[in-house]
Amino acid sequence: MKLLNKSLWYLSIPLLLVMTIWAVVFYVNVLNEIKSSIDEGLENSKRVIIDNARKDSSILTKTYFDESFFTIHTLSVQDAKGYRDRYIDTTLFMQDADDEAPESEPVRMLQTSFELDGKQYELKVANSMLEEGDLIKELLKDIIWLYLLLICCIFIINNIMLRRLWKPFYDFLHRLKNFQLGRSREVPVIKTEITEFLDLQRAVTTLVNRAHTSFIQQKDFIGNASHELQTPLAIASGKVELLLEDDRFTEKQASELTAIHQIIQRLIKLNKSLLLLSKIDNRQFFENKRLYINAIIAEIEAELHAFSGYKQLTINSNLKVPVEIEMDNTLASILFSNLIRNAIFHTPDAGTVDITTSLKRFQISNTAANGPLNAAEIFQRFHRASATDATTGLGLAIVKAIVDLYEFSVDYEFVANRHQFTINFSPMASLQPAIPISFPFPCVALQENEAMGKWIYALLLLLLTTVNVSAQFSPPGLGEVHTATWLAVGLNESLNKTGSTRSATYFGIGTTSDPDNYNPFDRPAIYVVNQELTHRVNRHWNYSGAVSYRWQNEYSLYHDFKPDTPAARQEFRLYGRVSYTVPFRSAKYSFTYRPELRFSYQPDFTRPVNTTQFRSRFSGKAAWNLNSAGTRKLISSAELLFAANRSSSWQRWQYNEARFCLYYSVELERIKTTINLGYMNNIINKQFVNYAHYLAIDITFHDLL
Amino acid sequence: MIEDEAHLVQTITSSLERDLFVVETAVEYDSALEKMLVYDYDCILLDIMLPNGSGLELLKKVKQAGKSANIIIISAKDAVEDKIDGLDFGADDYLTKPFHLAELRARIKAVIRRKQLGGQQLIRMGNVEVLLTERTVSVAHQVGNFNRKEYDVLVYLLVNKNRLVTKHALAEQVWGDNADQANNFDFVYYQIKNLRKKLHDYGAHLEIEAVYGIGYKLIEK
Repeated sequence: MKLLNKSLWYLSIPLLLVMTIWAVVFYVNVLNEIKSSIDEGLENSKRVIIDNARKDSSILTKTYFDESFFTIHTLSVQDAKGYRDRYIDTTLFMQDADDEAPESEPVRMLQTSFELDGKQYELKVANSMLEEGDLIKELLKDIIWLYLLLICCIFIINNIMLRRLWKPFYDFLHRLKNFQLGRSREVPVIKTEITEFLDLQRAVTTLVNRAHTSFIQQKDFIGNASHELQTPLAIASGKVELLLEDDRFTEKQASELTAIHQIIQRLIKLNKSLLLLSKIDNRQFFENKRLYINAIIAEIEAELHAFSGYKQLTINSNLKVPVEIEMDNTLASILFSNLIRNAIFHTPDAGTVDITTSLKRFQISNTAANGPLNAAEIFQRFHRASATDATTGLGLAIVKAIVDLYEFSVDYEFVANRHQFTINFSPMASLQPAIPISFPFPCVALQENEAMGKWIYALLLLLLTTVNVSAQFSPPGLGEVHTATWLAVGLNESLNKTGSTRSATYFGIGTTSDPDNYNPFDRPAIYVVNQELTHRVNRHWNYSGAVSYRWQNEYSLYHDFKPDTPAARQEFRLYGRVSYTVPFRSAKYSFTYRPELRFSYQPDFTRPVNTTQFRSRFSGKAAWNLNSAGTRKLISSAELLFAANRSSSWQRWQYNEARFCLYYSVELERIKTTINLGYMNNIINKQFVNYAHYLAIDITFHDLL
Repeated sequence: MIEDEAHLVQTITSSLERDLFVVETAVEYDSALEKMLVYDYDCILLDIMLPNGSGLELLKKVKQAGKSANIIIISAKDAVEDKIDGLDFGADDYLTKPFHLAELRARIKAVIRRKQLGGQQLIRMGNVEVLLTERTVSVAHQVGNFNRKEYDVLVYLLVNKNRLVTKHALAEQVWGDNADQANNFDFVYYQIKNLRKKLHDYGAHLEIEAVYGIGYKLIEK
């Protein structure tokens, strides 16, 4: 529970208690106050009535209640003697404005006695009272309202005030989260004047410094331990090797020495593995670079080629998708090498090993010699499949440690008599297509059912759908993000009298979420200037040509998602469109083919190696008129995008992504402006699908000049 | 050899002396520096962590003095930065402790061979000649057909001729540093078997002798 909610929760319960008690006390007080005020009035009436009775004795015969609200009865002397004034709550039959018939209403009544001309009389004076039931109801209602109002106010004030008060704390927390021992240079600082926070800062600084000291000590310890252990091991190993060169041993002595040598070798391996593990655990490897993992895998495979040949293994490696990952080189080699070696060494003769890489995962499987491994234990340190196993039992533990370091995940499964290990790369460091243009590049391998469904959906929509002449400026694809926004402002001008040739110019900006959240405004992503000329041939056909310039910010896929180096890329596009439009009932349907060439540059206009892409977009669009004037429309569209990249030569032309849009369009005729508000779903890749949600707004001015 | 660990000095010295190297030793910084500046050595084995100074410091001074000795760093530090530092300062090779004596001999011979004037990259033993630059093996002037791993194993045995090469050292040579699995040795055995057969078929006057089941020794017939 967040601090904000918790404090609201803590406030609301005592507040309810306090207000309930207060309501009871208030009710009792008010009632008393009302009664005493009425009683004073009754006392006054009594005096007036007795006074009047002195002047006019006819009053003394008034024995029933009427509009004057009093009765007088004679009293016997005995009764009069013990008579005392009494105020009572009773009821009388009355009818007031909101009553249909007379009913008994609560009254306050004074019963008193007086003497006139030697006779004793009893006087009853009444005054109508408020109904207690009504009072309670009203009070309860008001109290509930007050309570709700207070809670609302507290909630709002809390939100504003606490947020403001706690902001330095949350900032600090964020910095602390990103702080890494031995890597971050500066201890996080809190920007505030609040004493408690400054205390926290001091405590954290002390703690961090202490942790840092012990981290340094530990690092030194590792170095020293390494030195201290490795040298004696080197001596022991060397001495035994030297000794064994003498021929004067008996067979038995030699075999004992051999055993000692074996043990020393095992110690050496164990020591090396442990040092490696503690280094990984201490995060001492962090020379992250972009690596092409396929090259690393191919190299390891080549290393092991002779051995797999000796065992007559078949190695099927499916490394078609060029993938890149941000990782430490040494660790990447160890990671893949451990898994591949494991697979090759543990496969029975003539078995198979399958290696597959794709954008977000690495998978290796091999024929099993025996049954499944114990998935819960294999990644534990010193776990060995059998007691006779001469390995260190640290190979998979090292794999696990590296995987944990990079927040990947590794899974073991036993599928169809095969051991299968899968590494899923985290979304943060997720594999990027190995093309400098960081647009998602399709992968070819498997087709998943889900993607299949999407295809059918896409084709159906494609059949249903179209392009309207004054189309909206749809958002550019911003890659593998969760959410994005797009705002464009444009000018659509007719260039001749008939309006068959038109020019459309727009400027647009886009923002996206970080890979770990859904806030579409998290980071500025793109700036676009676009110019398009369209010629309408007849009511069905039109074609256009366009140039576009784009500045797209690049962000690291790792950690804080900070701007990458270089921080952006520039892009020029040339594209054309051919559309066929057909009206049917109140809708227009159009089908468009859009060929496109993209050229990418670094911010300083130096060009990376392979930066040219040829894309083809096929789209269908339907625009339904929502009113007879056709000024309000609902537009839906579907688009499939195929692309081919050029590195040294042109690569295969393949499916890239699909886009589905739903737009609401309003044309304001008086000010010659069209406003489009829409949603776009961008589905990227086929095998590991990424769905991005876009909110898009564009404003177009028509024929202003 | 500049190394402060007396036992290691002794082990390496006696191993190298069997190959008829002349070995001089220094156990700390000052004496090491003096010897390095006064004499010319074919090869210097240099430990980085010394009692009163750093091996890297020595390396810098020797290079500044214009000495052309081959320098191999032997260190317990295997961090990549240390290796790069060492090689940047002008070391010819870097060997992480612990190492096999056979590996050390191979490295020493390799750096010496590399710097020999007009040195033909040639190893000869009996009627077998290996041209390292060409990666070819000829037996009695007849070029034989050896695959990559067989070639590697043969060269490794040749530079360690008449000396014990353990199976572990061979496995590491063939598989790299991370070799861990026991069935490596089956493969080593298989490679040796193939190699023996080829050497015999080509009529080489060499024999790979098994030593106590711990390793092999290449000798002339």
